[in-house]
Amino acid sequence: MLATGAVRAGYLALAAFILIGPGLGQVAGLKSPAIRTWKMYSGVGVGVLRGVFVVTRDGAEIARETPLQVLGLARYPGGEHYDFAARVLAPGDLERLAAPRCAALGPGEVLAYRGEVGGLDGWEPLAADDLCGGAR
Amino acid sequence: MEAVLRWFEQEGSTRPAGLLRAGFAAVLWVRYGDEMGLHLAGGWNAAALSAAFFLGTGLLFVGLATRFAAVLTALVLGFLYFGAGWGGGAIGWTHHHVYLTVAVAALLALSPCGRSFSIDRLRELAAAARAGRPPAPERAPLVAMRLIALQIAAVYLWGAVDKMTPGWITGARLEQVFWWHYEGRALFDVLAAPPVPMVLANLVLALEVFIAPGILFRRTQPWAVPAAFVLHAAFYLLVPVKTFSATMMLCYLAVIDADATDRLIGRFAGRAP
Repeated sequence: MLATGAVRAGYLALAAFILIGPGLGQVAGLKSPAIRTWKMYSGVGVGVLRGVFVVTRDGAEIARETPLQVLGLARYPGGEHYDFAARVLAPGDLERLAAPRCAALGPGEVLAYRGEVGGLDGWEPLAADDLCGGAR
Repeated sequence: MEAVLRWFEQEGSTRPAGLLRAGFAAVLWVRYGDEMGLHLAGGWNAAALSAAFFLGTGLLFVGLATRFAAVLTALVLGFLYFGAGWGGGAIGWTHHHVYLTVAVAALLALSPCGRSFSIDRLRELAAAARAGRPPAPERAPLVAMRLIALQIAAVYLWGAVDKMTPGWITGARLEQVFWWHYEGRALFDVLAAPPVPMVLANLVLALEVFIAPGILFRRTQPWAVPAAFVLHAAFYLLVPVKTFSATMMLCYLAVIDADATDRLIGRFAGRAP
């Protein structure tokens, strides 16, 4: 049974929306809940640290810790990354992440970070010499 | 253009649509069941939404009043995505896999998915027997199934476009994914060690570029469809994708030739091909 003109126009419009619609968001940059982009996993891992926290006293290194150790975690929660507060996405996030560790530093100790942070374009260099605002 | 119209309007068995309908309802229970229970409803609106979800998906599963069930299911899922998700800030309901369920439900509502493997079919058989007429054939134009096939092809196409960046091709983005999901876990040293992320990232990209058009053409389907199943199985094993892989795999009932699937069902049922 052949479709009528209106039915054909309807399904062809739907087909065009399905195939081309995501491009309106991904290429043309339009943002709307009705325009579904297919950017699966595009934000997962962004803000994750790949580097080392270094504790020094009087300029001498006394400890090295991984980001997970500084966070007091054995591993990342692995579920919804949106809900994980300890990602480094903006200036100040690294200091906020390190604040509990700063509170545990001994007298005269300095906490620094050397490494990278996950970004949408790849790993980005990130370093901070004194995350706790002066030796404790 | 004539070939495109013929492809859309070709008639075929409705049995794959019937299987897709029942399987899809089960996927929806897995994805939304524990979030839609009546015990979670804080007010009457939420209770009504929950009741509508289980009424729609329940009827959809057994194929009773199937058109009504499919429309109701699509409306409920549409509300979860657009209303509660984007409108209400429930970020978990704005995800791509949630939109995929909205799209599939809406397209199923346009399909003759109640004509096979359904209570509606049993009622039709009984009515035909009473009236002394042949039952309505389990055949219909495949337009809605074609649209579902296009929908999943679009997922691969635009997924691949999103990955055509230096961050993905160098493996850095996938490496970050592995750091998030695997650091401190058993397979971290295997998956996050160069060049594994770069190799896997480019393999995924190449497969998506091939699968997107490949599943739509009969000549390339014998390679594209198994490749897609391997890809989705790998996603399911390696990263948390919830019901995304299951939904995509189920939708291959709309990709594979409907009459070939019907013949396979017949072989399972002991009928000669």
